[in-house]
Amino acid sequence: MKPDLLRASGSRRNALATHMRAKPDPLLLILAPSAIALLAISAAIAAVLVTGSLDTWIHEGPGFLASSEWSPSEERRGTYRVLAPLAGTLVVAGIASAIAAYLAVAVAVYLHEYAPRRVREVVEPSLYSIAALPTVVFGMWGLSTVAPLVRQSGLASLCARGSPTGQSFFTAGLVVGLMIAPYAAAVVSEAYRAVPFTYVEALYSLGAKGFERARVILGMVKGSLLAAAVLSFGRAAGETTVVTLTVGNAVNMPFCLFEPGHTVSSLIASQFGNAYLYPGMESALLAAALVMVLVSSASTTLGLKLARAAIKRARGGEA
Amino acid sequence: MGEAVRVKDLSVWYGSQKALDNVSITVPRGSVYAILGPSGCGKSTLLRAINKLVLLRDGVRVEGEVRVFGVDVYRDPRGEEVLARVGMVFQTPNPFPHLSIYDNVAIGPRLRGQSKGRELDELVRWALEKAGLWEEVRDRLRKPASELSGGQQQRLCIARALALRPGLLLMDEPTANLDPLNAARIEELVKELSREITIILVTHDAEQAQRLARRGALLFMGRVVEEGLLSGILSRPYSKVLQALVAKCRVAGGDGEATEPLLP
Ligand SMILES: Nc1ncnc2c1ncn2[C@@H]1O[C@H](COP(=O)(O)OP(=O)(O)O)[C@@H](O)[C@H]1O
Ligand SMILES: [Mg+2]
Repeated sequence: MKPDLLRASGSRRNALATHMRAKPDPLLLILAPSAIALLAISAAIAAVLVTGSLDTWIHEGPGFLASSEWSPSEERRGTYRVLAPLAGTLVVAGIASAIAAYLAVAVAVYLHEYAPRRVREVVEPSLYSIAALPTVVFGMWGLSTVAPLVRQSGLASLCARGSPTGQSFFTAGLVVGLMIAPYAAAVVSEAYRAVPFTYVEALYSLGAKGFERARVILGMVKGSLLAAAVLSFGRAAGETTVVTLTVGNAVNMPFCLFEPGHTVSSLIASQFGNAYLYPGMESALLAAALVMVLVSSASTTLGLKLARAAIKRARGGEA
Repeated sequence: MGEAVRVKDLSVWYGSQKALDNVSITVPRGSVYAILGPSGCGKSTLLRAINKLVLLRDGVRVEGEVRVFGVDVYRDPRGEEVLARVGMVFQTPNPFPHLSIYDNVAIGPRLRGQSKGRELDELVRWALEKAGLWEEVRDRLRKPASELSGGQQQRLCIARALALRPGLLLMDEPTANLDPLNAARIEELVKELSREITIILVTHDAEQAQRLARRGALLFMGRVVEEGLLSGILSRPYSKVLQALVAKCRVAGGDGEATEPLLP
């Protein structure tokens, strides 16, 4: 009896396999080439970054990341080391994600605890449309409006080489933060809304006021908050257009936030076009790009991991 | 002013749908009062109308009067104060999963800034003892509440409500999602607590109602079809009572808008 059953199920599995071999899913035929193409493009980019930067890694070694000396020369090989823009990237992204996280939480709490329903229904979806604005719009706004405000504020006088134009690490962080805030707010707001209604009822039955309810509910979604913050950080670290227009474009360590500086992205964007004139610079910029790819893919991977863990927890996996 | 709750001519709409139709009930102090009825008849709505939680729903409209310990909670500014002493236990255990066992119980008093330190420890212990959970959790008060079993979680929710030192406890089918053993424990608790606290118990289980309560109301399609002693309401088997209601409703047009009394 038993062997019979086994054979039956075995042959059914075979039949299934033959069926699959005989009739490939048409969707697969469309998707497979695109997937392969995507992988090939990624591999090609990685190959360019690695081979193009090899010269720098050999020449500079770990000093490339550990020093901020940047002295271009047209005659001989200059010295190109990226500690300053690397640190600038972390500082600008740090400021931006802190601002975005703060605003996102404030907006989500306002929408869900204080705003009339009609306001929430209009604002919540429009967060996504704001998030979809082209970044250059924010860049122009940052340059034409925010930078002058920063200059007029006199904050630059706090720094030894304060920016005379208002373009600075802080300005770039602020504008990028404001730019990614709507998206972060949409993420937090969605997490907030996903909290089962029964907990909201429980909080009301315990007499919790608006911000008290918010504190408990934010505690429940703190995994999503962290994920949103990390993803915002990754997005801000890679942001190019806005930063190039607002950061002031100077190779400068970010010891004082109101001085002009560079991030890796703004450095590449502003220098790569002319880099062929300076022996060694192109390779150095490719090396910097490679570092950025690693940083942003690490932060995206971490962010997605955190987000997945948060979703699992919210679904009642484990606390 | 002997009653804990008096509901008078209460109607509740969800949008255009009328969920409660001119409901009036009187809940005496110091007892268990059962709200009976088939699923969807408005039991939860009635319970949430008493502590105003119903206002959280979109497009809700409430008409009529609810007095809790004599105070009109929808109009009197003292309503908030009174409702601060009304606890609620839900159909599905809903302790805050990210908070510890201790913090779940302490949340009510903390929100009110009432007690701290030693005093709060005492209150938490008292509430957990009252809820029959202390012995099981005394060694792991700092562990997350989500580690508890379903029955324990429901008792934790009872402790959370008791920490408000409520005069009135609203319970919405508190055993509906528990196994019989845990359900029996909760029933024991309800009996004990009712010596000091007025309890309104929503249930669709007539036997449970009879075990725990002397008085109650039978709801059908948003209306109170009978109120008073359960011995009277359930003088016939519950299933027969419901059958009669359903039959009567069909005769009346099937939309629950019958104007004559629904019970024979
Ligand atoms: N949030 C809501 N929005 C619209 N209709 C609702 C809502 N909650 C309950 N109802 C409706 O009100 C009626 C009574 O529901 P409820 O009070 O939950 O009944 P019960 O607790 O007796 O099962 C049902 O017809 C239900 O569909
Ligand atoms: Mg119900």
